[in-house]
Amino acid sequence: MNPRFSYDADDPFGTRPDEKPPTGWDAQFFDGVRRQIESRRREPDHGKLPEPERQKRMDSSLLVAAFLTALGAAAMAVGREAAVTPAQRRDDASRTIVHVDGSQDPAVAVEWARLSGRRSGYVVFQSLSPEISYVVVDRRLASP
Amino acid sequence: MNTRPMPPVHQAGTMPDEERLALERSLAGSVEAFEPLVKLNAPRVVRLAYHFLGDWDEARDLAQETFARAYLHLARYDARHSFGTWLCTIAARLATDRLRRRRLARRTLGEYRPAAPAPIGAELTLSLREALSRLTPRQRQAVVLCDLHGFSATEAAEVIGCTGSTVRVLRFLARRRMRELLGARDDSGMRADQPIRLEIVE
Repeated sequence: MNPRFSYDADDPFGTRPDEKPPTGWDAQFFDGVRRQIESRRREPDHGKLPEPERQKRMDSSLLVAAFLTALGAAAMAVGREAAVTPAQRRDDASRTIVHVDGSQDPAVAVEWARLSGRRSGYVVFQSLSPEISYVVVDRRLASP
Repeated sequence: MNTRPMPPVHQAGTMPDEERLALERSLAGSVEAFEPLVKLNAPRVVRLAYHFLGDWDEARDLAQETFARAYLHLARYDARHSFGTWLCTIAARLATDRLRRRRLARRTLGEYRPAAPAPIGAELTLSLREALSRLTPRQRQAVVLCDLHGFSATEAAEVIGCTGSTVRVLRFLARRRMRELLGARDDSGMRADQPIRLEIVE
């Protein structure tokens, strides 16, 4: 439990006047619930329970991730091909070139980037759309 | 009816006898037996919905929808977990759907403005509602669930549909944004380098 969280059952809406619901918000509240139960009962799946967004967006995310993976791998392969000598090229066969971890929105900007040990690096892109999602490109560079 | 269980979102629950009895009777088909559970949990669910939607009427309507859906899918409730947290999970997901539809409608009507609001003058005092409305939907989810409603990062991740690490990133970005927003208050004495204090507005 978050230590800053506090919920007072006697005053559930806090103390600020502008954070209080209008008086009488709970009048006929259950009647509204009952009406919704009756109307949703007639729906094919009773107004199914909502799922988390990730499950809804899985298909499109996978498509975009696959696209970005292919794009990144191709770009790096071309770049590496130009940079390495034939002797080095033999060592590259089993190397992980790129890993992309989920986003459905390719409109991205660099949020932050960092190099870590053993010359591996990663870049986090922030989506430009109002809903933030992330594309993480993990590029493991050639061993020294 | 889909009987796939919800993922666990709360540590072991300790349900009072009256609540368990009401649940059992509701499961047996009695709508009337569900009323005490609604009365008990309505303030918390309405409050959560308001933090997402910023409108009391809409929050009330969403809370009613939450209870209706919960009643019709009570078989999916896992009694080892808190009933209130299960309701909040449903409410948060429904609220997210509404926020998304609202944003799409604004785009369609040409009223949409990207999430880069005009600079806030020092004279403007932001309420919690106003500050929350300036966050992205996922940042708002993370802040509302973790900072205002006591969810852990793992629990919030179950609701949002991401990893706990992503929740922590979302909270970090949201705190930075909230610090900018609330830090603009001359009268608060807050500076941008101070840790954000969400609790001051609730």
